[in-house]
Amino acid sequence: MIKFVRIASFLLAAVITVFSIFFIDAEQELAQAQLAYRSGDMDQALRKARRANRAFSTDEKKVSAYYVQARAAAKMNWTEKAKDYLDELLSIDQDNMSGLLFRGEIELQLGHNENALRDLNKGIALASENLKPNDLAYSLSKRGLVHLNLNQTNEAEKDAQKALQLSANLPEAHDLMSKVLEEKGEIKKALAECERAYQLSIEKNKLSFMTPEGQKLSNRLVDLRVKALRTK
Amino acid sequence: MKSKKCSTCGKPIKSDDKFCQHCGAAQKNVTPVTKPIKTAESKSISIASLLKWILIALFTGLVFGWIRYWIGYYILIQGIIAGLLIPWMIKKTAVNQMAALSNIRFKMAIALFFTFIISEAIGFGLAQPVFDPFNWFVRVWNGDTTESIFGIFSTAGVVSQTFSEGLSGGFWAFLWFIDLFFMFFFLLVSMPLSTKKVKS
Repeated sequence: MIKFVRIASFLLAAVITVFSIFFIDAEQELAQAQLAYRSGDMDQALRKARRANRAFSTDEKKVSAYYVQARAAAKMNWTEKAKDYLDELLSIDQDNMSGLLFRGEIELQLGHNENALRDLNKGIALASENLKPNDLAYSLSKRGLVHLNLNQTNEAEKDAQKALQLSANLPEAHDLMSKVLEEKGEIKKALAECERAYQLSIEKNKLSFMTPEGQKLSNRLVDLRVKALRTK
Repeated sequence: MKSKKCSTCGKPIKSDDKFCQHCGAAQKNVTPVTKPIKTAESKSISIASLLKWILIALFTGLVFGWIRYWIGYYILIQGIIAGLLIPWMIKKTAVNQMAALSNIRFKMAIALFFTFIISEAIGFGLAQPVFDPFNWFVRVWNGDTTESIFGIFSTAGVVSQTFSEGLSGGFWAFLWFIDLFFMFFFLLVSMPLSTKKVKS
């Protein structure tokens, strides 16, 4: 009898464990994942999105979960993992605009410029009508950086101009323009654009200088000031 | 129970009855009470057995860590289950080494306890998308993230509202410490106890 009770208890515990992992309210989990992402808790965002992803049966829902996973992983500097999630997302939906644009950005961070350009080109082509001007300008700035890495300065300048037309107060667009001008040897103009980018990023977030991107920007600003002084 | 017939009156009686229930006659050939057969107890513990027990704690820790990531933390329940399950599995595999095991029960409990903690962290890390359990520990301590508590949603009112997003910081560490304390307590008291009496 005791043996039976033991076996029954063990089986019950195993069933509850499996049920708790796989049979969950996936919609609620995904909503909680998005909430955790917005509140800055990337560990929980990733965990809950993965739990939701396991429970979702439709591709459409899985795409949403993969996107949250990729966003959270990228915020945690798990860039390779973010790319893996985006690969999964795009294997389900090849023409997912957000997925393409974000993978392009991730590929740029990883130094895979050819792949980044392919994804950003496709994403921007899909985005031109569906995306807000500010978001489109951001993606154009990223593509401009890829062009610069590939020594395609003219294309980079076109993207910078287009991005600034769409959103004149986007720090990334001014930063890109600054890099383009520096590449063309126009140091004073480059410095002015870089200062504008720095100022805008501080206006956007007072602690932006503490982020990796903010630190890069401030380092570049210092370098450009030194260069400008030397060219006098 | 087997039965036999009374050697005097022939009526059925129980096999271990010394007297007939019907006529009261004394019965011969009463079956002697069987003494438990002692098995050969080993006085020392082999390295293989020691490794086997450490592996039990290791495997249990890995499973518990994996579950902890996916479901959340079972405060107290986890410590009690692990504290009872590990010694139970060890007793099952240490049939002839109980006496030897009882002599080192405290050291063994400590070894199993730390093996469990480390392997639980590894199990947790293996469930993570990127193996990062030790940095995760720091993040929870700093309040950058929270740890979900299993079953908190089933509670109602203030408790559910306050802890539905999990725990972090000092309170989380305090509850974890209590859980580990209970685990060690059950681990220690569930290990085989020496039955030798000390002569005064």
